[in-house]
Amino acid sequence: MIPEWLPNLHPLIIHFPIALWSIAVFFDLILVIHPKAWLRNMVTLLYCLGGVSAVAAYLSGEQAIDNVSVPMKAELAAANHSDWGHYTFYFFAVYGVARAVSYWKQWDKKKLVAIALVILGIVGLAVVGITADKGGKLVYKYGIGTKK
Amino acid sequence: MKKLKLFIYPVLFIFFISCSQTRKEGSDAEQDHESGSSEGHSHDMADHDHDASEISASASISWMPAGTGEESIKSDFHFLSGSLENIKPVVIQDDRGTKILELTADGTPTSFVFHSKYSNVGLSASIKKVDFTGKIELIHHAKSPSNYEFVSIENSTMQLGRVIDGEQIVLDKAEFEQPVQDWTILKASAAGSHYKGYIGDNNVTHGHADEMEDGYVGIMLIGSGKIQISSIELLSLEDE
Repeated sequence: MIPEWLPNLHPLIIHFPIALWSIAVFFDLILVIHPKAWLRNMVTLLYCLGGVSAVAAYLSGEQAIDNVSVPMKAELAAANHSDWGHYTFYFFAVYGVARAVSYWKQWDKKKLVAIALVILGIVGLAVVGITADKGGKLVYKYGIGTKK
Repeated sequence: MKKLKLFIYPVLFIFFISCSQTRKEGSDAEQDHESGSSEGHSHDMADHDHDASEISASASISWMPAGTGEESIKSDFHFLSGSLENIKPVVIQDDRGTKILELTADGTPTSFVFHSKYSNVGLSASIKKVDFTGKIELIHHAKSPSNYEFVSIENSTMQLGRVIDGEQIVLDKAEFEQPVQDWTILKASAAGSHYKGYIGDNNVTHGHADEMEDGYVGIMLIGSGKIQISSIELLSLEDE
């Protein structure tokens, strides 16, 4: 199902939470300034999809780490990436649920709540950014996963 | 103006996060210590201090046997359990002239460790079970014979775990296909709360637990018979 040259699904999946969350935060900022119903629907959906894709990225990462050859000098970098992957997973999953609940209860229509949510969204962006940075180092510095 | 502020603050926040991340990376020097093999002695960038209270070392070691078996062990290791008499070390040469440390274990649990203490560490040993029966363990974070972490192989089973006050806790256990009869690279790594055991490049065991205090790194034999060791590689894993 996956190409022969691809070691596992993780590199295919990981871009979804990064992209979805980035777009969600961007439109969330616009939503705070210009509240529109369609924008609110879209932002909530993007965050929820970001949360779901983070779960998929986490699970594929758990599977990937034991199936690639990690050079000894990269073990700590792999451990750090794995730890940050956990943090991202927990954060996105909880935030996705919180976002859906606040949408359902219409709490996000209150200005203060909307601002708090967008700040937390930016924090999530920083978390996934750090995770991605550490994951990128595994591939581009240590070559992990570049050979099946 | 208020709306403009709402834009500016998040942008400043992201800028701050990315700047602090860049600064951190910029200040970290490249820490890839890959020392070449040095026949006859361990190639060690760590302090050589036999004092048990020595602070953690930051080093890589590439060890190969040299001299007599006794000299080979005494110069770079000390015993946590057992003694030279329990493993009767001799240095032999193979067909290619490569020196090999041959140990004959008498059944007494014997562990010999490098002199420095390590925190995050990777250990790799090229070993050959000649007629050894029992358990071969790579140990790390070792403080005493009853407090250490290990990756062990016995027949085709690998176990990864720790011994705390004499009580063994297994974090992971798995079978591996490759029979350890010919030369095999057995590896163990401890990186943060992540612990792994490898046969060659194949990850066999992977477990998680709290980090232990810095400790010694070496080999433990629990069994009897002959085992050969051609090299031991040790790498102190540095944070980036």
